[in-house]
Amino acid sequence: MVAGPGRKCVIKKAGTAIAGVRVSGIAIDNTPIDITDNDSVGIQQLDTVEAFRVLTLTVSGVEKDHVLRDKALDPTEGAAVFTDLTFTFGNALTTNDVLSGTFFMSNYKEDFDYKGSAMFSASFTSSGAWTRT
Amino acid sequence: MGDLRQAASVAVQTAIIDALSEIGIVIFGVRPQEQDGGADGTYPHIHVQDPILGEWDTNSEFGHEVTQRIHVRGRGDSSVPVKIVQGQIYERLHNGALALDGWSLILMQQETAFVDRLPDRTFDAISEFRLLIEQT
Repeated sequence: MVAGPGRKCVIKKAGTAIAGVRVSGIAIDNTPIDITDNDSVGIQQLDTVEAFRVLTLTVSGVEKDHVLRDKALDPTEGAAVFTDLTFTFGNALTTNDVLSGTFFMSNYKEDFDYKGSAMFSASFTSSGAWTRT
Repeated sequence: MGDLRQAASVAVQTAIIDALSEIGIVIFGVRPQEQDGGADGTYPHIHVQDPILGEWDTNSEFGHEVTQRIHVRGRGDSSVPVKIVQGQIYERLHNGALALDGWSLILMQQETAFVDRLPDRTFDAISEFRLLIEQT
């Protein structure tokens, strides 16, 4: 098994890598269905299916290409929905380990430090099932 | 990769020497031996030291956080002349622009400035600048 550098993880929009990225990440949140009752003898019991599953993609870095900024500031209805976002693992065991799906930009932020450059961060939460190819 | 780093060092030093040329005193990138204290040394002079390159990469571009020291050396009984030149350097470089070959400047700010006195009683006014640059 070989570790891989984080910088090789890539978030792309429409096939083009978002520029200026320093940190990217994924998070999976699963919400269980609690079926604990008096017969559970005081021990939690969960259903075998999830109540709720969500995949979150996060990205942050130096703001350069304005791709995410333009979408974030677009007042058009539906502008926060991305159907062309992909995340590629940099240390994948298979050749192409790519996550794709429909994602909703739940948060976009920029900070401007007088001793630095414009920095951005964004979070995308999944809508519907994602695919891994 | 090694060539790219060297190019950044050369680009920064060259651009700063060009930017300071209008001050009108001798500027060295490498100080000649006689400046070490010989009677034939040229004073005052500016010495733009070799920059120190730190990493400032992103996924998409190479970049550097640069520490650039600039010396103004002078002789005499007062440090005022070197401080005046130090002030002229500040005016030209602090939050200023630089034309860099192969790189773009994001930020250039003076971080510190002070005057030291060398063993041969030469005044050494040292300004330290911090630059953020990225590959074009």
